[in-house]
Amino acid sequence: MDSKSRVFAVLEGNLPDRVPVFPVVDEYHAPKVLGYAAKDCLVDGMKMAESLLAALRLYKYDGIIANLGPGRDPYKQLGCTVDLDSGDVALFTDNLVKSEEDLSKVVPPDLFGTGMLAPVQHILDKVGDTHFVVGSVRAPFEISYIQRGSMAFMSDIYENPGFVCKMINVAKKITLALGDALIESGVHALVVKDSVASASMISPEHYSEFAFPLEQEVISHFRKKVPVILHICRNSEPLLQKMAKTRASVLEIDSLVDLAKAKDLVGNKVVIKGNVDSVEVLERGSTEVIRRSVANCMNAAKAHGNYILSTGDSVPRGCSMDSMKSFVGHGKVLGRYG
Amino acid sequence: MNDLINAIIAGERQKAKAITESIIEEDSAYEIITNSISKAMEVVGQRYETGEYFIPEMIRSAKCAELAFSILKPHIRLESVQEGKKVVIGTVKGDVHDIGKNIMKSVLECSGFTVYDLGVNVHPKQFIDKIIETGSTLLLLSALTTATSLAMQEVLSELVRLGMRERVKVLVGGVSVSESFARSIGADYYGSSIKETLEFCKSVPNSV
Repeated sequence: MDSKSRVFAVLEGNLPDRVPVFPVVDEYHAPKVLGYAAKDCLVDGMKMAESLLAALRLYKYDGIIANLGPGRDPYKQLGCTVDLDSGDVALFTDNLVKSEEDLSKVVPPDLFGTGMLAPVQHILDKVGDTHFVVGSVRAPFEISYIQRGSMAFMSDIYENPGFVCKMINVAKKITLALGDALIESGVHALVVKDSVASASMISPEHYSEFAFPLEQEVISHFRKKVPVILHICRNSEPLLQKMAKTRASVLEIDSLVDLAKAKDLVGNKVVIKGNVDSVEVLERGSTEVIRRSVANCMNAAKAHGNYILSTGDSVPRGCSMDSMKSFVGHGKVLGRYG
Repeated sequence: MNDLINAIIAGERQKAKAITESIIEEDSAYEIITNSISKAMEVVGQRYETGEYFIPEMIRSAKCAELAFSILKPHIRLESVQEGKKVVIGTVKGDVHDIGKNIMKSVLECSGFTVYDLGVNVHPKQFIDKIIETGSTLLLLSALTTATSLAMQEVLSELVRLGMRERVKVLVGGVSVSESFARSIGADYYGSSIKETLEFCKSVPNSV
């Protein structure tokens, strides 16, 4: 059974030969594998694609996140000022939406002809027949958070909730445009990321009021064509039942969530993907700590399928290659069925 | 003063403003800050820890506290301001997340500290320069991501290299930071909550 068939087996409700292993390896860790600085890949989408492919070949997991170039975000299309020199990720240093009038500046991107889909196509050409290739988009709530700026956006939730609704409805067009372009390129699935909607950031009530309806709308749209993973990192435990109602095929959960509880609550409706702590376990833990954490995940969620072993969030650049190999190796052994 | 505490906790800005303006006649500005505003923000911090409050509620209350503080500020006698305690605060290089930092800044200001906020994506040299310029004995470093938490180490290394490490107490905080991480990079304290961070800052003498 190849990696792609293994993941699809789980998505179709069947039991594969073993639990698929699909950690969140993206622009944080992948550049390290080829010795690139983060910035090299942020400005050159093909270097990012090569890094992601090199990580897949080195660690031999089952799925790959195909980033748009340059970097994960078509940030210029989001209209924000970006600093590429200071860190391992693109930093949004100025915000597009300073007032309600600025909403007219938020326009859906047209990726075709820009070359930004080339890295995705490259990944599909190289491993699309054998591995599960996932395109990544941000949910409307998260796009608005970036475009408005964190403090202003979080203040708006109480001070101007009507404005928040307008913003996320405008941002929806961006999510849909990016997702549709990725689907047209041939990705096997989409991950819709809405980390700022977690219960580490906003209340479950605000999640229901603002983030959930738009998640549901965009996911329903994408689900007509491909499976969708909904990623909400940090604490999403109080949101799980609502998240399952978005029509997502997979819920990607972080280490703060009790995996057994998640499986118990929604494991019969959706596939659960998670949730080894990418920092405390993978980056800072010993091989034994990693083995134990993988074993705990398997004990909590492996039975009856509907489970993909993953990290709860992005693997950090600081995670050693040996730790990654250990994670994948233990996952493959401990995840065997039968 | 209880009314002011309740108004700040509930995030009622106009109410907080009106109460502050009315009680300033009866109580000293410094007492209102320490007995009401600071206490209210401690409760808000506790509610965040217990999952009763979230980021929007924290910001709403912090804005109330800032408003009350701005009304009181001109009335504070200099000698009562935490005996002149100065804090340099900022989000480290490579990170632009500022919610936690801004909330902590409000709490410290409302507790009588003089806070020098360097903003986000702050390079080690900027921290060092500000410490030298202001004579601050407290440095608060914030980071959200694990990649950027490593930038905290750069700041500490720079303090050591320049022979300034003993003069400054360094506190680190943020989502990706843990107590063991703080220890591993040689920080003096890991700020796991607003209350504990505030207590630590209060405990640091003016000259280390």
